Amino acid sequence: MPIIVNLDVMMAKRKISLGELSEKMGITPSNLSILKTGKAKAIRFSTLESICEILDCQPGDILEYKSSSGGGLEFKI
Amino acid sequence: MKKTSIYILSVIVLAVLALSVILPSRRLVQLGVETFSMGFSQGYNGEESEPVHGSPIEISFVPSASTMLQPADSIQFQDGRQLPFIIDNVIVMTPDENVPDWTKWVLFSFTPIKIFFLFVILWKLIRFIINVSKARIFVGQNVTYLRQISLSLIAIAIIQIIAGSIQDYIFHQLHFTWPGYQLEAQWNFPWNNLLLGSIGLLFAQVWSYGLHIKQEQELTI
Repeated sequence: MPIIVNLDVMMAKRKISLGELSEKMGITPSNLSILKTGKAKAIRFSTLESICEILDCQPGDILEYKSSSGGGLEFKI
Repeated sequence: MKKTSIYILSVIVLAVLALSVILPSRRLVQLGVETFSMGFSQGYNGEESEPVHGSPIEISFVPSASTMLQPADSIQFQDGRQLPFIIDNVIVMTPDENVPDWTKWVLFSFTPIKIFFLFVILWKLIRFIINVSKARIFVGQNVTYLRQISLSLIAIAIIQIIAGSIQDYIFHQLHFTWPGYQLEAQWNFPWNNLLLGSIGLLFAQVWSYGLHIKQEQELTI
């Protein structure tokens, strides 16, 4: 999937566990785990806002776009 | 509130389904019991009766214009009045020697197959309604049940078409005639089963799409 969730990286930087973060956010650890492991299909703005507020970061620190083709132009001869 | 109404409606549907199966079956069971007891009684008393041998073929009598205007046949009622009548459908016991053997075996084999598919439809429909009554609505099991019910309906329709075609074939071998009428083999094309089966398959696809939306919703954090 082209959108990569770097939540575990930010959690490690802020030294906060999954259970602690989910409790502060008011969602279940299993739901947060779905997001952390990249299995989520979509994220609500309210959830993203809550994460950024608690981890003191920007949405771009959590979400990264990586093209599935690997980026760059390819020439075939 | 919505879950309660779903539960109540599911119970009503199950009750109506049970009545629709039990009530018509009572007459068939009664007929079977009467036939059995009559046969047993005759056998016990040593009475010899000639059983009717033959394959039942339903024939449709289509009256000609002159027959419609002036029916040739009349029936006498208890009060002595003679009233004209027009023949509609008749079941003729065709002698076995006039019916090809292979047709008898094919038609005979269709009965257990139809009973099997009817059982599948009933069982899967009950399981589907029970799932819905427990508010387990958009689950993969229900999509499977809907597909199985629909395909069973279509299978029964195909069997009815083949059986009807075989009856047509038998009828044309017999060359029946009746003055004032055009005779045709009577069987109903199973439009109802085909339509219900097709709608059921469409419904199953829509249900599958609903399941997909629900799964997407569950994976939206």
